[in-house]
Amino acid sequence: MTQGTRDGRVPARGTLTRRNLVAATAAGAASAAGQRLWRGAAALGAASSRDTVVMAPSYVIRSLDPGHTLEPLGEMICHAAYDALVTLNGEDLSNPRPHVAASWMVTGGGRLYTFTLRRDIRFASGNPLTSADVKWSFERVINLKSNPAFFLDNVAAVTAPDPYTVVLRLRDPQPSIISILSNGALGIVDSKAAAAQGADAGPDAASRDHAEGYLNSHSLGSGPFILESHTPNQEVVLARNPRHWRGAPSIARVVIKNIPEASTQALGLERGDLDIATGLGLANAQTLMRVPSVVVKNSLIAASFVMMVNMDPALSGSLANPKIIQAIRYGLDYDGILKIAGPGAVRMAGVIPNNLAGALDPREAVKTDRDRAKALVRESGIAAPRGRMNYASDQTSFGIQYPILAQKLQADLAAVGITVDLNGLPGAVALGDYRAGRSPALFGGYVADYPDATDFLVYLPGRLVGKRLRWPATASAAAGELAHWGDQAEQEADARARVALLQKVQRRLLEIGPYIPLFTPALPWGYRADLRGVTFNSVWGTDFFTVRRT
Amino acid sequence: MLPRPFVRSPLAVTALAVVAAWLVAAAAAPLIAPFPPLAQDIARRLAPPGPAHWLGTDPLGRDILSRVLYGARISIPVGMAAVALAVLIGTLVGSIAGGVGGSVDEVIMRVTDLMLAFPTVILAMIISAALGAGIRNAVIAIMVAWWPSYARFVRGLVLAARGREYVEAARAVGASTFRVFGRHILVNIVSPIVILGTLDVGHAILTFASLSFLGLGPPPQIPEWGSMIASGRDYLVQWWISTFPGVAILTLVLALNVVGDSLRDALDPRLRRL
Amino acid sequence: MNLAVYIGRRVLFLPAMLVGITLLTFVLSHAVPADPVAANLGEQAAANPEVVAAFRHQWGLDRPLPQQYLIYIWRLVHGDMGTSISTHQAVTTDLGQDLPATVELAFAAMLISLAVGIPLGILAGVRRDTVVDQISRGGSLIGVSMPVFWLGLVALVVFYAWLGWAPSAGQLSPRLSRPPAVTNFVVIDALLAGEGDIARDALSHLVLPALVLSAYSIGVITRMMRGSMLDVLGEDYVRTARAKGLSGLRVTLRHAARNALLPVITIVGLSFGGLLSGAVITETVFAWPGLGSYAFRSATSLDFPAIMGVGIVVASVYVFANLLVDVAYAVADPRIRMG
Repeated sequence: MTQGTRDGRVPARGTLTRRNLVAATAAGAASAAGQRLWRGAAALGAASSRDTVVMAPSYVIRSLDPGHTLEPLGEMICHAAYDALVTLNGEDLSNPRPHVAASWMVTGGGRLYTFTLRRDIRFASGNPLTSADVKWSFERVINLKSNPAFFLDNVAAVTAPDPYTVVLRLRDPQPSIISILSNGALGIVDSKAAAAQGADAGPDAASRDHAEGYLNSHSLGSGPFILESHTPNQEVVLARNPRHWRGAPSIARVVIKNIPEASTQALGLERGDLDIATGLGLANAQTLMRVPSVVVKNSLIAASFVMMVNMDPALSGSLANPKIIQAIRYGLDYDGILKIAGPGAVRMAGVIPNNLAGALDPREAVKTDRDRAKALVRESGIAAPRGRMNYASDQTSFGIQYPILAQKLQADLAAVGITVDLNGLPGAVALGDYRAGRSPALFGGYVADYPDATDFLVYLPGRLVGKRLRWPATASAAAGELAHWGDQAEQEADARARVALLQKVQRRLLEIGPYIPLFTPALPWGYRADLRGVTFNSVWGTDFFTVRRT
Repeated sequence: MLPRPFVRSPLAVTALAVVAAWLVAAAAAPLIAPFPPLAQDIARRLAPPGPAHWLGTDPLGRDILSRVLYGARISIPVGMAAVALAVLIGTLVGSIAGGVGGSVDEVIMRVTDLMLAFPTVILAMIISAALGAGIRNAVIAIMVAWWPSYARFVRGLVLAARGREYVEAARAVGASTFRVFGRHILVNIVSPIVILGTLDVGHAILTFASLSFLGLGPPPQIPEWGSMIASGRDYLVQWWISTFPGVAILTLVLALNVVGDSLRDALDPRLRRL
Repeated sequence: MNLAVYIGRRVLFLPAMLVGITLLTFVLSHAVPADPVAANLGEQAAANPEVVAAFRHQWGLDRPLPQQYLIYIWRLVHGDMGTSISTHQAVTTDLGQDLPATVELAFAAMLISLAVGIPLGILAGVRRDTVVDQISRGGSLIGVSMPVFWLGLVALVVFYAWLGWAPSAGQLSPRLSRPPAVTNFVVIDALLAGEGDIARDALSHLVLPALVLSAYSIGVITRMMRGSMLDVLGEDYVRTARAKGLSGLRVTLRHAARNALLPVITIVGLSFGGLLSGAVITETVFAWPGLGSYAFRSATSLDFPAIMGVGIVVASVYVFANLLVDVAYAVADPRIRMG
């Protein structure tokens, strides 16, 4: 409750002199003077150490243990501390290149992958990297049954016939396995050192492994950097690994800091307090373009932003009607939506992002046609189509604020006669609803788990997203056929044939599925102009090995 | 109608005028707002204050002046409702505690201690997260967080009133407990409760705006001052998005506090110690 | 009843209070209609029932609720608050890292509030109805009417973005690393490690959030101080002292101010809770890695052990503070003890 003031008394006649007045308010004066003094301290940050790079990403870390990590920042750090069998070149996602594996062979009808390892790799501990470590690392990921386990779902067995050969036996042919192997979670761990810390890769690893605590703050890899410290929710520090087999990196230290406010990141970048910032937000990125000491880029992310409707009319009501879904596709104002998505975002025709081979040409995408949308609504026979749309009220991805996009979609559909009631939920609750198949309608960005178009087959009936929208492969003959095409695409070894299949699948998806593809997002990010070799890709963010300061 | 000391203070009268102005703005918003509060104009998003949009536009191109005016239609009723509910429940519980006494009183006091052990915002945050966002749940959260302090206050008042002579006299004459309570005690405690409640409406508006700022209020398209300020966080350069809703909150709450203070000073000087 | 009995009764009830707090926190945090699985497992992982089962087993979520509560209490009694689902660290470690930052902030804010509020209140009370009084009353009114989060944003824009006086949000400049953790108070740790520069930087980062957080308390304390000054100045013994010819300043400081301070001392204890509430919001705006941010993050990611930990710590601190205030009141004013 609030406090009171006094009134109605005889005025007191104190005789405070001017000197006493000053003394009484000395506290106030001191704080003002103090602020002037502290101005000096603010300049402290600007004088930076030249071989340290400070980065502010979108800071979410679940785990830095490769057996448990999945989030982008975890991947970035694992990519720096551990080496995987294959790697990618900067922002080019389509051509995996040899890394720990010097070469590989595919035999057995696409089911046997034989990798020949390099012989000159040593872990930071000094132990040599052999096939035993590869086998151990992969088996640990499989047996821990944690976040990255699904990467190796299709792997029946991992064998190490000799110290520098690893054989993966797959259950079904899966050409995308090579792209999958580039992931930080599949980085090779120093098995001897890890076992000494309580790590276990056997069948009971889920209950016997006790190394996560250790691996969360120490790395046991062969990568160009070593994990020096991890203060949860505050910062991660990487230090140079002088024994790295490609040579020591130019940068001596990388500090990854948690700076949640986009505007603070932008100001920090401008002032030189930060070297790289990837959580800038769109408005700030625009402003930063005018600053000469900062380079601003928009990197296309392998993610597909799609609006989805639950196929179960009990949940989504009139929205599930196929004509209404078509009406939604024609009714949305894609120009306005792209403005919200920011410069660099590209209209997407299908569900596969534009920067992966297999995507449809964006020119094929549905164009806004309000009249046609209204006509479709009339044709549906539903007088006042109405439905609810869930969204995560606290989420911002790639600079796109979900509440803003939600309101835009709502307004666009209102203009063609479709009423959408928005239901904003905290992120975790929204996600839980969606995974339980309870979301009547929603939109979201599915980020590629690995840089291959087949990852986005999740939208097919009976697969991950399809299931959550209550669309099983048995829903109809057409759905079953589509699911079968998806399986074929996944196993098709010939690249060109695979692309053709994937495109066929997407076109069919638009005919019978509940998806309204929106755009492939781009991430606005920036870095100080005195840095070179700074890249950003959707798999592991920035690769610090190539970064140098001029 | 208003007490003399109140009318005499120019500050109090000005404050009252400000509150009245906000009430009028809230009621007349549909008539005086230049744009519909939900109308998006993507082409003109993030426009600074200018002739077309006096207070600028937000990230979806909505007119901020209109949304500020409509925001009053939420903040004012919510503030009053939250306080009214907390006062009601608190009075009920506090009267029982003070009136019945004994172990009932002890239990009630310990329960209120327990509830008071959580700082308001944290308690309200947990409740809102549990129940979900939205105006109704935010009001419930504030009510749950505030009723204990009213309960304690009313309990104190009831205890004080019980010791008064007229109550003892009534008891001596043989009047029933109910009658004693209704006739004598209740009548005497209504006034301080009402005054205290009025003083707290401003605080309730602030708390509701805080919850909204944290994302626990109404959905974002609804123009509410707290969430409008929150949406400006990522746009520090476009300062107008956060500034004007904040000025709205400040002027309204300030005016309410001045009015409340002056009212209390004029009507019941005994409350000044609070 | 006498003082000892009064204190004794309050203290005896403490354990019951703490149990009540744990129960209340448990019920509230588990009333949330969602599963921590959603917040902590990726898409593909959550679709695999084996993975979900392993996760739930690891965090003890596959047991019935009452059993989870009892297990929690058992561990709590042994000093184990469980492991945070989001940081994968012991909750006690998390709290040990984050609580000092909030204490730093609250302490600095309280210092500022007292340093500004008390003299201002004295001044306003002594110089009643003058310009000084009007200004201080106006200022304190504005202080209690202003939304903290708005003030924080405005302060950041004006003092950081436009004027460049204050450093950025956060506890330290991005280029500086935290000193080795001894007390987890950044300023103290920096001094202990001999890093004067880092200590100065940490202090400079403390200024703006502390000022913002103190706005409300300054308003409250000023009003209180002024009120009790006026009360006391009108008392007989003061008038007597004046009549005897003692100088104004002596009268003011010796008699009036000292007695007027008593209610203010209780205000310090009571506004502690207000500071904690304000801290949640201030920490969010200034990216201050304290208990408030931790509470907010845990609440939104459904990190049950963390929510419980924060709830218990905060409530317990509050309960103790209230107890101390009540005891102080009871010592000062015998009438209170009567109930």
